Amino acid sequence: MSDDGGFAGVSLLELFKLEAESHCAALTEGLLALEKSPGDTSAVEPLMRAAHSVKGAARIVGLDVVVTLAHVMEECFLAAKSGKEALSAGRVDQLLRAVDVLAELRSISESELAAWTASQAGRIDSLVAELKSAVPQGGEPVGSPAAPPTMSNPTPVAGAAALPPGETAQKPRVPAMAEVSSPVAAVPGAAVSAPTSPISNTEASSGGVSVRVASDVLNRMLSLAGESTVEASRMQTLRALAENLRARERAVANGLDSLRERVHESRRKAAGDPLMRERSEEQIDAWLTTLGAETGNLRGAVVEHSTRFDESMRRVEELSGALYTEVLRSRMRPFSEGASGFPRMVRDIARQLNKSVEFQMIGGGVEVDRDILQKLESPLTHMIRNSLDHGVEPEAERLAKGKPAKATIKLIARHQSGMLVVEVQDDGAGIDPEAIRRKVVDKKMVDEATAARLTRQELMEFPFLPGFSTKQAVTEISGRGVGLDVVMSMVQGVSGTITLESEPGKGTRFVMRLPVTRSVLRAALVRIGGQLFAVPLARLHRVALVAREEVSPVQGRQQFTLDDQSVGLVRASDMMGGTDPPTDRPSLCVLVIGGRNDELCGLIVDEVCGEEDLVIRPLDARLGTVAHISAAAIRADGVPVFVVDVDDLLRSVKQSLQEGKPLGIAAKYAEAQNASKRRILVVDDSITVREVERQLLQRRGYHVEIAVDGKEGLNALKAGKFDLLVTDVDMPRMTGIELIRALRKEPRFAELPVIIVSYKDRQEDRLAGLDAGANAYLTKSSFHDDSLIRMVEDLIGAPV
Amino acid sequence: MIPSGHTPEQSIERSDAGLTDSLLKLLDRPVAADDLSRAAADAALPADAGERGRVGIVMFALENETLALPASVVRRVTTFAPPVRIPHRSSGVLRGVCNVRGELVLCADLRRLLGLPARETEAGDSLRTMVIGPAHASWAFEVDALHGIGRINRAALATPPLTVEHSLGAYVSGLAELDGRKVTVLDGERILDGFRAGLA
Repeated sequence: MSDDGGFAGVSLLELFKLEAESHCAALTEGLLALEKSPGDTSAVEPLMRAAHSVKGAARIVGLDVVVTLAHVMEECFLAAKSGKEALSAGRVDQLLRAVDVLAELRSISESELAAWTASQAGRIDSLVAELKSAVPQGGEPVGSPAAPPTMSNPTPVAGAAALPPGETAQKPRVPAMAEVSSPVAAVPGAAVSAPTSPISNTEASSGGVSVRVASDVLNRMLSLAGESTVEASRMQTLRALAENLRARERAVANGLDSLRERVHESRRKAAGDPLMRERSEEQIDAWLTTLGAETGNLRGAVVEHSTRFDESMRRVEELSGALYTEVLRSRMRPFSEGASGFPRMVRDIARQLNKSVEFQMIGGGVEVDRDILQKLESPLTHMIRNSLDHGVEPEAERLAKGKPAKATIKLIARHQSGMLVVEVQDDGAGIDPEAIRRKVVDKKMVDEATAARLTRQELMEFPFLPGFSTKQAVTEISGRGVGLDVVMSMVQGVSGTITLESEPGKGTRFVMRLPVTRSVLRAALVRIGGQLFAVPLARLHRVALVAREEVSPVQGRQQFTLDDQSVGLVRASDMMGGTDPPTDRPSLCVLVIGGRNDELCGLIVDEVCGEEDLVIRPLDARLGTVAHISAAAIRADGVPVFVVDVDDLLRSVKQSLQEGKPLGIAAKYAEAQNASKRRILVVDDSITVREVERQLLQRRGYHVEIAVDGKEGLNALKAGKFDLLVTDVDMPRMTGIELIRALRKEPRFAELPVIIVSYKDRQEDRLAGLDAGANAYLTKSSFHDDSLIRMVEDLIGAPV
Repeated sequence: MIPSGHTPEQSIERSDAGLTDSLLKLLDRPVAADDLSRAAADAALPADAGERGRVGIVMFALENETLALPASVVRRVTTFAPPVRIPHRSSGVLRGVCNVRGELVLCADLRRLLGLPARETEAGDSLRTMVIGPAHASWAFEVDALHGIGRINRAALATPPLTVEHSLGAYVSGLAELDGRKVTVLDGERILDGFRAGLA
């Protein structure tokens, strides 16, 4: 494990970037607040401090341009605070652009810094000039004592004149627009340098991904881990106690045995003597009493032990539960962190569209898994843009409709029945269902008769289809026909759902329902072919018990009818492998899967065993992708279980239904074919060469296995049965020549046919190869003609 | 008088897995600089130079044979962790994944790799899961029982006889005798290569 604790390994620049980032957030927020209530001079104070801090920090890392920029920003705030100059919207634009420059620094690596500074010097200079242009000179003396003498670039006010005429004054908003933080980058000509979101700040500089965790969470985790260790050491005491119990139990058992013997002996001796007999009985009574007492003690000890054991178990359960919760919580971030860019975005776009919009965020404190938060940003950006562009009407139109001039866009986050619900609401024009209905027909998605029957709810699903956009004109903010379908797939990517509700004239509401965390999955446990699998509950349409009589073949495929819809049936074990247990149950257990706009498919499973919350773990990287499986998990009882990749499975199921033949049998047939084929081992350290050779030979019908160097090749040969070896010469660890020499030494490989395929085509290389024991020496040009294939056939004959 | 008190065998009845684990941890600890120089000096000594030219091995039972792997490749031994089949993948040497102390580890079939017949008897109490290989590329496999650890002289390993009836021969680095027991010492790297090949 790498050492990622503390800040010891973090460069000064990294620290500066972290600091600048937090100040940027504060500056943006403060500026937007200030714009709403310009008179509030107390709000300027923190802004001034933020600019001042950035200036100081920048000086430490020697970023002179940033020092200059931060200084003029500070001057502006100072002027505003002293009441000399109220912050106009134009000035806020300028300041926000300055913040953008600071924010950009975040994504600049140490090595790129010099180049960045050089390339941005012009832009920063003109910004500085703009910011300075209107600042009254009188503000200067009030400047902080720390004001830098290093104002190396005292750009003259006339510097602004260097820009194209009109650029500074009339269109300050255009460049600002270009920097709207948005991964969707729907603004044409948007700068590529869109600042990364604060949640995605996984600084990749040190290789591993690192995330920020609140220190109190870490502290709680640490103390819980400490307590767990203490509790574990208590187990040792319990164990000693249990051993002691076992010893005493053994002693009692032994005592009982020996008592039995003595009683027997004593009775035998005292058989004829009444006096002896009496003494013997007394003796026996005494023994019994002792044994009885010991048994009593033992019982007491057992009770004590089990009490202590129960206590300990309860504590361990509590502790591990608490620890687990804390670890999960460490993944949680407040919703507002992922939404911090939106107020600014709404402001900028609204200004550009000349609309008046108020943005409200409700539930900023709701905790969300950082993975989901990150994945949410871009769909949310899209929906908000959508509301701004399509939803909200121009001011005049609103007034004409009797609505308040200022439109409201609300972003709401809340937890509801174990799900995270995120809503984007606007009080704009809304969507006319009839417009959708017309468009559905225009686009020939359904015929007119069907369209007429579609309910409003059904109509509202169409905007999520690819290529469906309700706005007539394509604008630069949104509405290019790509969008909502992307939003939909992103939401589905995190196992969520999205719905659209709209009241014409009143507004539109997008509602997303998402799992609270990606690390825990609520899943149905399903037995398929005798093995348990987890199916994400969010993707399960429903579970149906279908009587065998209800299943009927239609056009060569099995199907049944569910809610007037034909559902194609496939045996799940054909997809996941395993063998179905014999069953005489009269009905089939069917998982119905499929998306909202998708045809439904039915999977016949053995049984559904219940549902469970599973902690998701990625599959072992060495496995690569596994068909129909997305992840693994460990169940509460410790047994591993695989999580079904519903989308991948759906694709296969549909394919299988279209082909109309059982999938399993074809696969088995191919397998049986392989077993009887001639086997060739290909050894080459180049993946390209390996693949070319493999495909060449496989297409011909041979069974091919591969190894990456001589050593692995030798092991593979020793472990398996091969009819032919095809090897390269130059390879790490063990060369082809060494490999052949090693083979020829062993009796079982003395006769194994070997072909060398090499780039080297000099006569001495050829001789060295043949000398080592190769049967043939070919150059890699042999791929282009059929000389490799011919040689293989010469040596081992046809593939089967 | 009634006899009472501990019997000596109780202290021995500890779980051998736990014991071996802690012993293995000792063997797996990072090499200190002076250990390294001592090892270098050892290497310069003649083969049979006593305690120093020796390597730690972990011995286990498989199909009535005593096999061993170098302690340096063994990460841990735990009570049997049953493998779960990976759809479309588990066949031949790759058996699936198993849960070794809360971690999912790829599980291979050592019997299959060595050409030994599949286990016929019921899974007994002695069954163990052994994990070998580096941290992010480790493999688990089941063994019939754990015999504990020992030290052998690498140089004194006898070469395996040429007449091997199964593919076991390909994975053997030599034969040793320890406490009167014949031990077949396996080559850890070759075993790992064999498991890896099972992934394809």
